[in-house]
Amino acid sequence: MNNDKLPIDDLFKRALENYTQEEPSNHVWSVISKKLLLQNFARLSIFKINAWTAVSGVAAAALVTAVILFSGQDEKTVSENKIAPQKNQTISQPFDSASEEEISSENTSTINLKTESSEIREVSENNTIVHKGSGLTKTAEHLSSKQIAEEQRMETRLPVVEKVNTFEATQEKTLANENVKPVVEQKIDTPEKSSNIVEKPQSAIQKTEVTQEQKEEGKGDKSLVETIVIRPDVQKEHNTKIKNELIQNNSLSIDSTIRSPKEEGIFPKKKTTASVTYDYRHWAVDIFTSFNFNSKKSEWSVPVFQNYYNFQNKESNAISNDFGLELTYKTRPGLVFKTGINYSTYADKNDMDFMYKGADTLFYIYIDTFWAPNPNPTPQNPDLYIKVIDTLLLYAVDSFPRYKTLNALNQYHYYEIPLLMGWSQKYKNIDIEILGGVSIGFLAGSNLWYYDPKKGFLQTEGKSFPIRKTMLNLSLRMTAIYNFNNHTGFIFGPAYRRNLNSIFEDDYPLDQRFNSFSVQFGLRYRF
Amino acid sequence: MYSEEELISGCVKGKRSAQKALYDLYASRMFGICLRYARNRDDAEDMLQEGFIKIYSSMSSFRGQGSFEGWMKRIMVNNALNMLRKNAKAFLFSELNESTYVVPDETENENDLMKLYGEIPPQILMKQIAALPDGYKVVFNLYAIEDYSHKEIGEMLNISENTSKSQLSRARKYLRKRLEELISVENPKPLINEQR
Repeated sequence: MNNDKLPIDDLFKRALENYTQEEPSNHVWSVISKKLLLQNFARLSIFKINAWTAVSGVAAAALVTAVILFSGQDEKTVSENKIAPQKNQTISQPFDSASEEEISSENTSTINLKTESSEIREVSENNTIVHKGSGLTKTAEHLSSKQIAEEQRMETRLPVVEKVNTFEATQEKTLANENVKPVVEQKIDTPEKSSNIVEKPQSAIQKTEVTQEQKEEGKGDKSLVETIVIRPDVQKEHNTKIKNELIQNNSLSIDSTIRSPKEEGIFPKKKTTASVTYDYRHWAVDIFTSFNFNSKKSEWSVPVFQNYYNFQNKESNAISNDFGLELTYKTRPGLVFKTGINYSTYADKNDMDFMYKGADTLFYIYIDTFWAPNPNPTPQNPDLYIKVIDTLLLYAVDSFPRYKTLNALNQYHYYEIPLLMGWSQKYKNIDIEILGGVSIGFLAGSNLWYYDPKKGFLQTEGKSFPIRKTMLNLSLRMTAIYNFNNHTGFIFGPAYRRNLNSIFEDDYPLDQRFNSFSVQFGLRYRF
Repeated sequence: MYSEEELISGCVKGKRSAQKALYDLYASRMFGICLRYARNRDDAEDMLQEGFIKIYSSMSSFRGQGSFEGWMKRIMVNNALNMLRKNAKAFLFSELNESTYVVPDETENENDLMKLYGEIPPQILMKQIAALPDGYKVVFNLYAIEDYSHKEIGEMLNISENTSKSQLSRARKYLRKRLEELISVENPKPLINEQR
């Protein structure tokens, strides 16, 4: 309180401090209400977008991290490929010798590899060494099996301790694309059938040379016999997980018999063939189904809703389901074109809160009279003419405002044709796709509430249904597909979608478009 | 019927019914504030709209310390000042040569006069306030009715204390003159003489 106040100050303070003599106009609340509606709507949308953008961002970050991690593992494997193979160890190394000519740009090409190792030694009639297969080809020297195979050959040439060793070699090659050096994976296993399992494959190929002294002592006849069964049987078609990438089918088959250590020097040759087939499939056909959790932001101009005021619409996040067929064309450098057809169902919950009233408040009583001859004059009523009621019109219109809350579940069903292009790459079992483009949606059905400007009230679907039959959408998505096997994969990733035209027809006063941030979860089957 | 707490929590949650109830309860009182600062009724309604929007949007910041109505009034006054600033770009303070000039306040017989002026209906007094120049009006409202000190007014309006005092003094003088004219027109000398 100020001490130097004067009586005039108090006069005005007393009179005006709680002045309530004048009321604001009725339209003030209407304006406030409309502004609050827009403000709430904007705040709600911003919140949703922020939340779902965060989810999408986390998903994208997870994908990028996965890509970095997986690509890092590949490099590590290559760099550590110098060591000798261990049991069940997978080795990868660059496949340097595959030149451009060898890897044909045709969809299918065959490379016949020069055979080097078809020599077979008969060491002993009684002690048979069976040697099945070794990919001793020119190319094989790049597969690190050359060394092993040569050692095997040495081994069979030289008598070793009497034992039966069995191991199996398989080769797998996966060529991602022509820009990336092919990676050769060589797996050496010891089959369980083996009677004397070799702990380490190289132990079976170690050289145990028999000294001249031992030969002279005659020990070589009995003890220096080894039966080695090498079963490459590398006649296995290795379909890579992505059919539209370069794949290699190995085919190696060697069946050799080594006998008689005594007859050293007799090396019958048996022709061994090896072939490597490369397939490149550009096309892939998938079917997929997925759930999308959408954060939808409607962009709409607020029309004048005749008969409604204080209109408030809270729109919940939508869930959409997709089921469809996709056709993918992939070029070598990872460029992808995608189209197909899918069936999408969107469902979003709308809580509408508004007031409405009918016509103006009216209450009519209308009585029309006329003079008519008195049909029955009496002494009490001798008049010749009497007043007769002609018309009695009575009506009232209830126009009291009513609050109404409408919980509507609006559903839209579309057939969509996406026209997308982008980049695709494979990292081990994971496909990464970044795609963008447009999709054309054809309305298949709907069940929703909408404002009918002709009637002035909210309606369900009717003759004047204003939903646009053909929609055009902008579509961006980043997808990771984890492949369980050659055919089935799990889909995950963020997506963005925007209506390029209003979901309502052009002559409808409300231009409403959805911006949708979504996270997609689903399954894919690749034929 | 909502309690004050229900009103506040309803408004924080964005319930339209609570917002409407709050408006119905306080609109006329807040409108009285706006009328004191605005130049006309239309401007006052604009101030009221903006003020209520600000009240709703900052409702969650009300901590329950002090009176809720007082909190609303402060928002409404600040909003009125902001709107005056926006509309006029600058208050029409005649700073020049006035910062040290304070019109002497007449206090002689003022109490008697105030008894007489006390008969004037509030609507008429409101019109006298509305007729004041912006600078006078704002300072008089803040000082005489909102109970701000000159120092606070100076900070709020970015003017010196002396300017605030000067504006107040001139506003008082202006109002006295208007009230005298009013009385003399309606009930001239005799009534005043009676009072004396």
